[in-house]
Amino acid sequence: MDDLDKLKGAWKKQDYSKHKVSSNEIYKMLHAKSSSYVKWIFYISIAEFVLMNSIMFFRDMDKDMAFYKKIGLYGFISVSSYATFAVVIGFIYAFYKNYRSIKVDSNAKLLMANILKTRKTVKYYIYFNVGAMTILMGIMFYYIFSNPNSIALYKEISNIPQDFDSNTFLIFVVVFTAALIGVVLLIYRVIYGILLRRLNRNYKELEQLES
Amino acid sequence: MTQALEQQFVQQLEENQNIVHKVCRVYTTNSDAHKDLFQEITIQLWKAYPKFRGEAKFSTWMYRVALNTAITLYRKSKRQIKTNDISDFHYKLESEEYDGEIEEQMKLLYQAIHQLSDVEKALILLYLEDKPYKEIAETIGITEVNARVKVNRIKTKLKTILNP
Repeated sequence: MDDLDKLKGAWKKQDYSKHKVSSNEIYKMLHAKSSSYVKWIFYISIAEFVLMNSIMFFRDMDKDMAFYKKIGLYGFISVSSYATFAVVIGFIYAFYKNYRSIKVDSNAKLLMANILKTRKTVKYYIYFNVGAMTILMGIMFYYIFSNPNSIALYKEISNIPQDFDSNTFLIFVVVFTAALIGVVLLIYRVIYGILLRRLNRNYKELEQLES
Repeated sequence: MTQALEQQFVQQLEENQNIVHKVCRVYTTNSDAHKDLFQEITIQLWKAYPKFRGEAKFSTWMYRVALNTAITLYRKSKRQIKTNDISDFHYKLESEEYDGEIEEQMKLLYQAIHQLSDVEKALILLYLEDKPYKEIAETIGITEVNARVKVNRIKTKLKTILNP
């Protein structure tokens, strides 16, 4: 170990005068754009919150609601929507609270833990949405496809000919929905994996140190 | 943010910039990436500065923010990934009493440090800076005992790399 201790003296005397950053350069840096992970995590999280709830902007909700009224599912859908909305507000509040706890001058482990906690809020939010979507769709399709009148109405709003085989239609709808959920989860896993790979690795190393 | 605060910060950073350079040198391998990281650390220090209450020394607080930025917040630039040219960034030793052999050993030391993990780099940097284990532990967020054990392991690891 003598070698390393010998180098300690040399280490402390390293001189960076050749690369000295002037006060003018520092002033400029203060107003430069940050490329911090936390900033990206924040933007991506906000995008996830928005995207997950933007489906209503792409659909004719009045038409959908009129259909639910006709088949007797209006009450169920309304209550579910309000309940989902309340949960979403809860998630956004938790996200904001966790995000505010990220402090760059906390110790390294705490900083990593707080970032991971913030991301976890979004992760659970995505899982909640996918779970709620699966359950709601399941109930809705069961309700629709167990009643010939509802099937006829559903074919009508989906622009499917009435003589189209109902079983094939059901399979098509289920496969399409499952594929949609699968794509959402896949994209999410990829984003989450890339974004947090290094952070997770470093955090695990610190955790192992304490075990 | 008042102008006076900005002025005060710039002055303190200018005086203590060697700390930032050392962190950049440990976490990057070329001058472009070094500059990028230096800028990001400066931004993070400035953002956190209004809440710096002076409970710790400015330099201690700087180590914490600089290391957190390097380990956790900094997105490695493409330039950092593409090139790995250690000779790109020259440093020189202040004292003339050091001969070429020591300088060569310092280069080897940096090469060895670059093979360590992000967390190991932080620990060895603080050790080489002669920081007490209490401060090392508090900066990283582990117990003092574990900091001591881990630093000793890294020292052994470095010794093996330096003297294969």
